[in-house]
Amino acid sequence: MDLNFHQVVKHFGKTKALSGLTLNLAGNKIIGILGRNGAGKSTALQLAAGLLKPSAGNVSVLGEKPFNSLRISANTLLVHEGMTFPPALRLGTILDELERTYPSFDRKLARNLLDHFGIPSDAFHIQLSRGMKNTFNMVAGIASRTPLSMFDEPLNGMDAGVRSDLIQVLLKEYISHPRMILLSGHQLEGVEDLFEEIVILHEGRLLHHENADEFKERFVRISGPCSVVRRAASTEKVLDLHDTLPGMSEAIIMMKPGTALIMSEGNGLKSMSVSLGDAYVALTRKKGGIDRVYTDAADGK
Amino acid sequence: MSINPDSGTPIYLQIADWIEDGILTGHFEEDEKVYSQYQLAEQYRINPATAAKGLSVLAEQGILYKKRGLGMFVSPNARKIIFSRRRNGVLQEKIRDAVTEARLLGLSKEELVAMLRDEMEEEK
Repeated sequence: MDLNFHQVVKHFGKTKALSGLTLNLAGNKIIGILGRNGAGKSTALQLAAGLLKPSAGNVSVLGEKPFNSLRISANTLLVHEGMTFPPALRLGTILDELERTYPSFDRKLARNLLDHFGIPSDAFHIQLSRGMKNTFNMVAGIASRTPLSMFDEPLNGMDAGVRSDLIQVLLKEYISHPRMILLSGHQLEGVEDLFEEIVILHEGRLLHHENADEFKERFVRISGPCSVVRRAASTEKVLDLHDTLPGMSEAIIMMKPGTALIMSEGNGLKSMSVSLGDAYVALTRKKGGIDRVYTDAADGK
Repeated sequence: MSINPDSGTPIYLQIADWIEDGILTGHFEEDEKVYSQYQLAEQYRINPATAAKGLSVLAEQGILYKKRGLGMFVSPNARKIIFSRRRNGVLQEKIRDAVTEARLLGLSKEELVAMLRDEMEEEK
């Protein structure tokens, strides 16, 4: 599977959702698409699924423009909270229709998963709670087994048990039927270790694209006496540096690829790992963080 | 075992450590097959590529060997390799931690050495 964005711009009226996104993804991998609200994640996924037409630039899936392409439609599925199905159809019938649409759809798997999650196949989509709706959508997306399967904030509103089961299902499915799986979202607990690559979008552009293991290894939270932390951080990119106790500081640092932090022994410096969520938030944070809002307000700005 | 996301140790090294533990305790015998990257991925809910990286770390050190198409197996001298590396590595690290703690408490070199000596004599 190949998915490419080249200088893609997407406007909605005066709002610019994407402002020159260039991104090349290849291979059957699980890829995390991260970014703050409004970074352009959902727009990028909708463009890849052919649901939107780019205002400028080029999107291609398997070498073809996805917009208005039947071939790409049959090979991609985007699961998102706003999915709508014909209101007159019961869930079972919706699955029958999906089976007719997607050649790779596994109807038996879909039925078994719905049974497992206690979603009756004679219910209507509109009757389901938010969590159940998202569960149904995700089951439909997983069972479709499309070569490009995209899930936009798939786990929202689900209880912890369902969430954990679905993560397991996703992994089993990926192993038994490898495909390109894109997962976007904020609630990353339990999912972040599934990623082989991560993509961070920021303000409508690509901010970062890297192998997930290597990315995670580059972030370290260090803490200790101020002078020691400052010295250790002086040679690296510092994303967040603040004082904790008097005389003590903490910093999140991002090391250059392929380097390791040299911890000079015995000076009180401690290092900890940084979760993927904390790392991307630190990378995309506005200068000064939320404290800035309050200090600005106090300064009468 | 489960993955500890807060430890500074990357996941693939945690996987490698876990397999090493299995070899030291005799759970995996010499010339026996260890788990595949897919079994490890499902067990720890991690990407199969991450699990494969853990296995290849062990292969590079000669702890595991690959049989084409069959998977990874425990080398005959795996225990010896793990044992010697861990003794040097882990002990060294604990000593470093003790030194860090001693500096934080403002202990002198002599005081720390004295404590170490007392501890060893007590164990006799």
